[in-house]
Amino acid sequence: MADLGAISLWIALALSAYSMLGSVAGKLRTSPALVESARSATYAAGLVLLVATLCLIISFISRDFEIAYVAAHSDLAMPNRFTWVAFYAGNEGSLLYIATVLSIMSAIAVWRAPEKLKDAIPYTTAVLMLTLTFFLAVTVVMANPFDKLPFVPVDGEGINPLLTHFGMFFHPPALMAGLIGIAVPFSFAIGSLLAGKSGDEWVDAGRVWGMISWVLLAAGLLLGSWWAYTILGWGGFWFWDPVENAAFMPWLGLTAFIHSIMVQKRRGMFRMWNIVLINVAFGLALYGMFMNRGGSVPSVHSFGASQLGWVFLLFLAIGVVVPFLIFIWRYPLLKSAQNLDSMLSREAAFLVNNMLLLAIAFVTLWGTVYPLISRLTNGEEITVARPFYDQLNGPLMLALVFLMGVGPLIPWRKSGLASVRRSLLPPIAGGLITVAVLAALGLHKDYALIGFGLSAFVTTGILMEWYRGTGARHRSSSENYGTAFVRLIMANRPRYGGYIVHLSVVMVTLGIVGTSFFGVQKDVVLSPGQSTHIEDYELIFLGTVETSKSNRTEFTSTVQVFRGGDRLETIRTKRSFYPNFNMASTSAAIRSTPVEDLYIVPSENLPDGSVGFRILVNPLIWWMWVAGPVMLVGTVIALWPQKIRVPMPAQTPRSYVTRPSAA
Amino acid sequence: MRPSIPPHLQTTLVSKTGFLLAALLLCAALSVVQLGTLQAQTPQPGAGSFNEKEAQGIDGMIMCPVCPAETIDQAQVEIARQMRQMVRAMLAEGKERQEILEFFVDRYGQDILGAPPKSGINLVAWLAPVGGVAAALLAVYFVLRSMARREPLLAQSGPIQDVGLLPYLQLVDRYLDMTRSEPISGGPSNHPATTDELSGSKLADSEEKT
Repeated sequence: MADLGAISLWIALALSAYSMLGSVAGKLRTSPALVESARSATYAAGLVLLVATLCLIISFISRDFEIAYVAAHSDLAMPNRFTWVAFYAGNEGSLLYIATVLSIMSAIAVWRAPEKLKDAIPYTTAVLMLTLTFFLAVTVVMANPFDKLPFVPVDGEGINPLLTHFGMFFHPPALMAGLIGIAVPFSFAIGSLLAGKSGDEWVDAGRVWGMISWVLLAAGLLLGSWWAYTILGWGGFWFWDPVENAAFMPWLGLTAFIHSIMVQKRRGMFRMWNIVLINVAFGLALYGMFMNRGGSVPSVHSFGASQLGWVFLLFLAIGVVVPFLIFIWRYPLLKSAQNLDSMLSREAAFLVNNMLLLAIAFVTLWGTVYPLISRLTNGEEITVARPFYDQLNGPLMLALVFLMGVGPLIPWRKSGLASVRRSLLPPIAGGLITVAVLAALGLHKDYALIGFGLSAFVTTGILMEWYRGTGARHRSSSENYGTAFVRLIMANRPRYGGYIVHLSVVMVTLGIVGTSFFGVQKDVVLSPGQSTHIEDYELIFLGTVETSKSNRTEFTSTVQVFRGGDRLETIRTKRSFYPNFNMASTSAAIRSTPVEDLYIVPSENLPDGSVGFRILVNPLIWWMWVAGPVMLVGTVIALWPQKIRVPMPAQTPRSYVTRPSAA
Repeated sequence: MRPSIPPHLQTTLVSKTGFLLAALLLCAALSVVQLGTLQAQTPQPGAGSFNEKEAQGIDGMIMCPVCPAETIDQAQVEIARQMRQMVRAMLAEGKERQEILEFFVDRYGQDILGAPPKSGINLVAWLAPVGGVAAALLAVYFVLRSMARREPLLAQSGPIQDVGLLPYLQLVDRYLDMTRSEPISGGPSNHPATTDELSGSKLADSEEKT
């Protein structure tokens, strides 16, 4: 198996290099046969990498400890289902995973590419295959998952206990797929530029693949937060850790891109800007992968120090500089087809949205590199952590939520102040009423009030749109309200899918505002039988049971939860100690409701049987985890292919106006 | 034929610009207010008692010395627990937030704080993003303005002579407005009868052909 896997990797490397060179050469010498064979090589590389992947999976399942990677990340006691996680637990396997995902995405992208991109596809293929060749070369030469040990150990070292959590089955693969997925829209953009096709041909493909990466990253980030919340045991979900930031920044860049690309799709504007944005997103994704593999900053995520860092840094430099040069070379082709009609238009709102998103990305990047700058310039060690990001990114995010409520209500092209005022009136009223009611109920935290007010503002706007559209359909076509609503959404999927995604962002906002401003935390040591209070909950600690498992000792503590004299629930929370790793992992007991979570985690088990608990009440965080599926549904609706019945609006006026006047 | 923007359009541009600027200023003001809060959150606790919220606020500023990227209110290790107790002990003695933070800086160095101090050279850490954001928003403003003021790529066709065209134009407008939020009846651009609207860029494309 190890040999077959290693050979597959070499073959895939050869195929991708051939595809890269072949498609460019075939294009330059106008040899369709060569281009065609290069395209086939793209598909073949995907298949061969699937074989390599299968080899590694089989090696894990058969616990082939002769393979160093298998020995380092599994042991005989590991249940087979954790093969999935062990596969990407280290550098070598995760690189193979990334390469496989990239090759499959490339194959699908090239196969499904629209006819109008025919001239650009060879270049797109070349860029994709260049990226794949890089990853495969690094895998084969520097981090080969099929390298053998000189001897066969009796047992492996076992899987990192932190990874044996449900969230870990999806968080890393979704993030890695999302990061590498940005290569696809990036390649479409660069491919069109190289082919001299700077116009709008690449927009549809770029948008679809951009959104696929976007939703993968969003899912990865949310799942990671959920994992941190349930397992890391401090009751929060976001560290502003350098590697988290590294995944967050490309997501911000992509968010800007999938908004801005709509302007080009609708209006033929922002052509340069979209190229810049997808370059920025790809650069940030490469930076993220660099940080993940031997970056310069300590993090809870690092794959361990490795020489790979420098190679990735080099690729990052190339990946930023070369597209920039291509951009400058092709700059004259990127003129807008339209003028901006008004500052008060959705186009303008999108541009401000882009700026805010990039500003958040910039603050995050700045915070990540500032310690390094400080160390190098004045030799002072500085930490940049949560307090910094909270203070700078918090207001920017609120401004973004505000814009999320305004943007969709401003029409394309131009609008009068009066009509904007009219359509903004109900949402503003909704927001103000919410603030007034909350203030009357005794809520006096400015930021929280702003956060809730803005959430209500955005939600009212979206509901109003749905209400109006449904009502209009109902009146004009006598559909009942249910049918009218469904057909309304299906009639303009990018827009109404987008609204659903916006609603999910509001949910995330609720979760963040709720926990940041109203979370209550308490650390307490309880002996069996003792009780404690938090908010209006009363908790009685019943006792701890110790059980020995093959690779760990588990301490299960039982707590009864009362409120107002009624017993709500008996909950169990677990703390496991892994002697092999000298590592403890906790599993919080969470009583989750839409109003608030009661969160109990044991932080230490004392010899006398008493337990140190950390108890939190986290309001509204439930909404944050529900947001994930909602976001996914919205994205799928927005992406669902829709036959465009009419030509692009940007071209419509010409045909209508000139034909009669010529007659 | 390359006319510049007619005066009536310029005036609306100015007022719309004002609207947008106000929104941007709001964002800028928000961040400034936020910057001020760190210094402002320093109430005077009486000796012997302290506010747990205040203590947790201080915890959130201090990094755990042995764990990466965690503040002491997050970290579950022994030293973080001890440091949390020290914070509370000092608060009970009547020490202020700033004194407590300085105590930890003296002991562990500047990097024990979760954010750079807002003084001296480290002010750069705070001002660079604020300045960057302000510059970016200004840039957006000027780019938008130049895009709006730019001479039309294709000149305008002037007032419509042929009244028979109006139904077609109406159709065009209605189609264009399918993307908008309002029902078909609303919005100024849906009234093609006014020449002001018609002389706008909707008809701008005709120069290419004429």
